[in-house]
Amino acid sequence: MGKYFSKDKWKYMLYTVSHPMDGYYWIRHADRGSVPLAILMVILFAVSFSANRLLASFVVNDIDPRAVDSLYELMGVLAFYLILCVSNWSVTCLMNGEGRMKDIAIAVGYGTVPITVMMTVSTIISQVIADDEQAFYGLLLGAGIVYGLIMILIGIMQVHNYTLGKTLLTLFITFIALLIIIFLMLLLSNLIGMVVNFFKSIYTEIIFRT
Amino acid sequence: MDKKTKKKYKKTKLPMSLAKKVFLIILGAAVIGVAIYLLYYYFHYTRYVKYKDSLSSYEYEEGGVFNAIPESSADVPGMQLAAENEYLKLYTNVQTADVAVYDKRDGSITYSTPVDADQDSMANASNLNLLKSQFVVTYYNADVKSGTYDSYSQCVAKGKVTAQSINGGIRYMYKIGSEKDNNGQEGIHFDIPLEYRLKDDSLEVSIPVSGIKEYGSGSIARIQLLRYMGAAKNDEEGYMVVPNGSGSLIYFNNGKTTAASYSQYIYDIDPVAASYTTTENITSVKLPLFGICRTDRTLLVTVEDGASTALISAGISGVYNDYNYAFPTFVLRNIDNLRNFGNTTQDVFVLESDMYDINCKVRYTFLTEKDSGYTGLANYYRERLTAEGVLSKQQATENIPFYYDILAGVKETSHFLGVQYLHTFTMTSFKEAGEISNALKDSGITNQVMNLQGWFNGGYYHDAPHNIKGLAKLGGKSGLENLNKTVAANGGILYADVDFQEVTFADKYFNYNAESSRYYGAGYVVALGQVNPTTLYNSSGLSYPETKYDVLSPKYLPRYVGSFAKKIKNYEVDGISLRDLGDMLASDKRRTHVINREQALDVVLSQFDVLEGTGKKLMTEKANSYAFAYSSDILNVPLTGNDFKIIDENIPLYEMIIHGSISYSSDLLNFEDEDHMQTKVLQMIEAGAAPHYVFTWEDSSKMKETGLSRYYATTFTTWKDDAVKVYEQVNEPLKNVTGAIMVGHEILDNGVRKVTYDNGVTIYVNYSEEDLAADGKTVPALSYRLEGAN
Repeated sequence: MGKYFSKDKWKYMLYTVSHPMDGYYWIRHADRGSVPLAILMVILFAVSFSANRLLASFVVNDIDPRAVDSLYELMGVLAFYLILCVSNWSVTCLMNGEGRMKDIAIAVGYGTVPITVMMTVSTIISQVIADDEQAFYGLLLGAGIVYGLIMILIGIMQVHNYTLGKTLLTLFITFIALLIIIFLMLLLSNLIGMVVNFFKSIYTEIIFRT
Repeated sequence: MDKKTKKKYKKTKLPMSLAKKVFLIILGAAVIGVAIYLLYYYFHYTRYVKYKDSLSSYEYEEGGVFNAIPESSADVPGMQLAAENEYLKLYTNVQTADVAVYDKRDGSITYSTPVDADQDSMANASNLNLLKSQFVVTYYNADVKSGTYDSYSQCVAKGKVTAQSINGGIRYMYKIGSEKDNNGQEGIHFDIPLEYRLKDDSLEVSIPVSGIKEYGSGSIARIQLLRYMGAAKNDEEGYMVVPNGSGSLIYFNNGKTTAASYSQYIYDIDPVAASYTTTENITSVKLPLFGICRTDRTLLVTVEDGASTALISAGISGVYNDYNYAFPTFVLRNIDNLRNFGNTTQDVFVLESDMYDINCKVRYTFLTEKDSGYTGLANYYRERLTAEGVLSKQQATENIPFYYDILAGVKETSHFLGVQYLHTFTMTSFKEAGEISNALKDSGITNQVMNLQGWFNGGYYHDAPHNIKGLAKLGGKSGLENLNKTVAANGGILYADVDFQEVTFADKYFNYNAESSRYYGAGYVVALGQVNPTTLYNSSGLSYPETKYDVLSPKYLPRYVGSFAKKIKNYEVDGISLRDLGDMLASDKRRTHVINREQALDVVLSQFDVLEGTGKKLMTEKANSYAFAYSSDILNVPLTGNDFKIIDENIPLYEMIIHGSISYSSDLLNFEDEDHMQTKVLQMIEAGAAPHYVFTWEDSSKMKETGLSRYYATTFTTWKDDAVKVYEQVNEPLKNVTGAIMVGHEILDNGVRKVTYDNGVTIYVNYSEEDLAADGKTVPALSYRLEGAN
């Protein structure tokens, strides 16, 4: 466990946040990153996301608290993270991407750090702002999200050794692959449901015909 | 391999690897666990048949050869005497299977079918057959398509009816339908016995289902019994009394020929047979009776057995024929739909395999002029219930009671580390409820009835009452007992509320798969909830899962009632309020174990006995007639009927029967429109009902985001003055009639309603917006006049 969460890994993660280009390069080429740490970051992101929805002040938050359940949201975020990594990996390995699955996982996971931090900060800030000052909240949150997205973009670019154009293209295809995966999963669950229903129907048919 | 090595090979047993051991241990534990659970399930659920102890049964009497009693001259021309007693003579015509009852007291004759049916000015051929029939059978064939057989054209006209002699009367055996169909196969036909017996001043008519035989592929679904018994021709004057809500009148020949005929299930439709959508909000039938009242005589018809599976219908002349009629229909099988193989466009219809084995019994009582009209009918029926020990006279009190619900614990959605759970918070602690009681006393209300809701396991939407614990945050057991003392000291009584048959989804320990009622067709669990205003589905939670509930099967009702009764004995509270037991009657259509509604009724009645055995008083809500015997108080009685188009007048029949025996309240007045309040007060004065409110100590806005958001106006401090005012308005006249019997009710020509009590008090109620005269005195507009009070 220690080697995944060593002080070195933490420090390197923070270095990556401040120097994404360089950081991600050495993650790919010198294994300086840690997948468990990346997953932990995603979990923290989910927690801060739920906390923001539940705890942000009413000035900026019109969400019905009964619509929030952190457990479901955590599962949703983790599932999305998994599908995103898988679909990106499946696209990039066909498009000469150099990154391994673990590099993609780290690229996305570390990319959530600024979002998590700024979301937490803005949730706290929201407690003390007035209606006119909503812009500060929006700015902080927006800055975090934009920086996080840029980090993910750079991360994907660096671990695959792509140009920016090719990264954007693969991300677009990743998005389509993601939809296809979701579609197939729905199809599968629907088919399984139908098979189960078929056997149930045979059962009721036998019951009523005899 | 030589012998030696073989032996050696045999001996070398490989040591079991650790993983394999662990795996085997886990597997073994799992197998044992599953086996234990299956055994538990078998004994705890499958073999739990305690409800069978409370089921009633009946005997099917063997018939003898019918011989008419010889008589010098028949009182009913063209008929033979079949039975006679002190009051009545039963005549019959063995060719037509018609019967007639001759009343020795006034010489009147009541026919089972109209004598001059052939002269009917309207009826076409099939309606003429109905007029001549004693009953009409609705059946389903093998393809689950329905058809009807009327007893005249399908049996009597073919000469296939035979008379048998039974004790005190006569039985006709009908061979109805054709024995061979067009293809020479066995056709759909039935043997149906119809029995008539004289009993005192009444005729008992029954169809014992155990005597019915079905042939061919036919299955009987329902039987309409004696559609035109005592029917009134279009030249007669009078009305029919139907048990619509509090009771209603349909005048003979009222000319509403385009209105739908009256038809309602007794005790409301079985929730297991009801539709998934609720399209109308109606008050159900509480009394298993109807009447046909002429000026000189009244026919009181009571459904004695099988009422829970019967409906009452009534129609007027000028629609199908010249007669005004009312009759009962017995449902002996229900049909359910089933969607199979993912087919969403076409349902398969499934009919229950067995008929409900009940003795469909209706009692026709012939009332003389002394008991004429609906007043006489009500008086007669009350006296019968009193004689049977169902009702007993109450003591007069100084004031009428004041009913109020207290919402104690309420569930709300909360978060723990962002994870949702239902948390019960305090709307009114026991101490605060005591303060409400004291405050009411200080305002002059001493005769209080407190209905304490949400006092144990999970608040208002409580867990199935298996193991009750007074909520500690409300004040615990001692707090509850102190509250009981406080209310008693103030001159009132505390009822602790419990709901048995509706188990909320929030109850995590309820095994809904095993313990709920199920639908017959697809076998789904019967789960209901609120009515969604957009889809009209009645199984919606409207985002509050605690408001959804599973319907508890009558099979497990004895278990929950039994353990509740045992636990409540340890609490010093004076009363138990039953939220559902007096009103809700659900069958269980689990295919392997059908419990029909009449059996469910037997179970419910035996559970009332168990609860009565605790020595505490019982209060019911919207009580059906079977709960009268157990109820000291009834909440939310119907004050009027539904405004069906065919109805002419609403009358407080229900109240006329129980006033003076049971105290009762109106529905919640918190949610009454201000504009309508004065009318409501007058309705309460007319019906003799006490006011009923719901209170909370905390502000009702605290319940905004909870399953009780429909109670949006409950804060005690806001309501106190209004409630006291309304109580005083209603108490002013009604305090003179507590414990008195409502012996008369009359709708005067100008619309003033005159209510008479046996202690000499008369109350005139004027609903109109102008002063009206009644019996020579003025009754003020939208007000009442009290006469004969001390």
